[in-house]
Amino acid sequence: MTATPLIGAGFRPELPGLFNDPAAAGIDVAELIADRYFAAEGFNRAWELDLLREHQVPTVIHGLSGNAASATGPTREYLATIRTLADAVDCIAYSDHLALTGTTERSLGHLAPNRFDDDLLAHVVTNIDLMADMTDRRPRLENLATTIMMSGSTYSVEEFYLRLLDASDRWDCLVDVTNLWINAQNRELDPYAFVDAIPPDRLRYVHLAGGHFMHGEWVDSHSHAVHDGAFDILEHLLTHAVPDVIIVERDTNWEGAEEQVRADIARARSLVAASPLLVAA
Amino acid sequence: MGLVITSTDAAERFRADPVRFAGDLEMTDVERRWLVEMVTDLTGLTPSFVEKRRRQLSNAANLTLRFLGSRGDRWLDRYIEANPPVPVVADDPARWISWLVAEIDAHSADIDGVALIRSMAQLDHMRHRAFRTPGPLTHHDVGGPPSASTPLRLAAPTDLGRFDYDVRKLRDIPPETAAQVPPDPCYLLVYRQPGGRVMFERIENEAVLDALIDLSGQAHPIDDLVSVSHHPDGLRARLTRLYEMGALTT
Repeated sequence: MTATPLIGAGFRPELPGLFNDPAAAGIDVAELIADRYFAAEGFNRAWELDLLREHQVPTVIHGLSGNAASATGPTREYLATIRTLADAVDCIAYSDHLALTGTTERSLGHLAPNRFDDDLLAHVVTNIDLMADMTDRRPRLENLATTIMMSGSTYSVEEFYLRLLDASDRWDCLVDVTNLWINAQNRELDPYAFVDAIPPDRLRYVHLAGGHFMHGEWVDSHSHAVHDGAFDILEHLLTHAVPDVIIVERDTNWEGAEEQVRADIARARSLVAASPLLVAA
Repeated sequence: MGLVITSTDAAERFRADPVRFAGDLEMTDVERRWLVEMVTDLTGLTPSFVEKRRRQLSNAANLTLRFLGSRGDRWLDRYIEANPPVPVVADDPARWISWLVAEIDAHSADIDGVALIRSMAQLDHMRHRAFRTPGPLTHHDVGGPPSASTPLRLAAPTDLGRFDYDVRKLRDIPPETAAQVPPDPCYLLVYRQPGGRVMFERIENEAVLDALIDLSGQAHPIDDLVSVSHHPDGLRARLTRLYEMGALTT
């Protein structure tokens, strides 16, 4: 039987109206940005983890520095810290990005595309093995929002993502439908075809957010209500697959943010309720 | 790649002469060729990567930077160029604030109102430390006042600092007036409430100050501390309140 997805939001202390009483706010699940909680010993912001535990909110953890799309790969120290956090909060899923986040000599502090070719593909397969082994969890990797295709790449970021599904069966997809929508506004991309190319059983997790238009292109800033176009992609996605988790992300522009996130969650919930896959089940 | 994405100076040198720049790096010929091929793409990423880090560091020292003005902006740029970004566990903001304090000290003769600005940096540093000090994943459950015999100590994020100015009151004054503000030496207790909020409290009562200095060295039962006080009930009440606020722990 197909389970109804858990729908929630990224945990942010700036959204107390959502997380001080998650059940009343319609939050089934909270996503934790893993790196915020890392410390040499214990946890940073442990009070936030306590709050979620107190309310018995299931959590998913979302790493920012997994360095999956790199020749260097994630460090064992980083993955050990992910494992410690994941075990401590008993998360229901672990995710990161299909991105370059560091080189041998420095951490980038941000998500970058890489030269997407078969050499990198082989490295990423090894990286995913390490992520799965070290965390004892099946990583879910997010597609990037980017206008850049590194010169020398043989695949676009989306083509590489889909190739990786064939190359490794030790990971699942975190599809950021807003990233798809933004990429489709900024360059040539068919987001619906991308979604359809993912095997339904590998599409386990969805992100939604709102960006803004700046200097002639859309930016994935997590600063506004989710775009109608992103909801259109979600509606289509729900005819193809039923993810376990749907998360609305918000990182800035806090005025009115709680109401917008609440409304976005409600809209996602109504699309889930109308999904032919769930109605049929 | 990491170097040119995270350093404006390196990105400019790379853009100006990609072959020469790549030639100075330790890598294989194939890697060097790839790097040169990606010059436009990589240097296109640099501004947003540097800006993201700049914003984070600027927030960590926002009080100090407001008083330093354009000199602070230049120092921040210099820090970013001289210090590669590090994994989050290494706490780049703490490293940056320490670096900033060292710069202020090194240039103290040239900075108007340097004593006040130095105090602001001390406040930024203590605030950051109080927020970032990690804790265990257990709820800080204050089940009523501590018993008279329970040893108390300063909680890990708590710090007692001697300041030349009561910087709590001066955060919003116009920076150009910093040199005219008369000193107001004081002790400030910085602590983190159970919900994560960082608090500053001026400690003027001598008995409370002595007790807190004792508690920063080792744990003591409240009864031991109040036994030498002229106003034991007042001291007991104050220490109990600080315990309930999260500044003290068992």
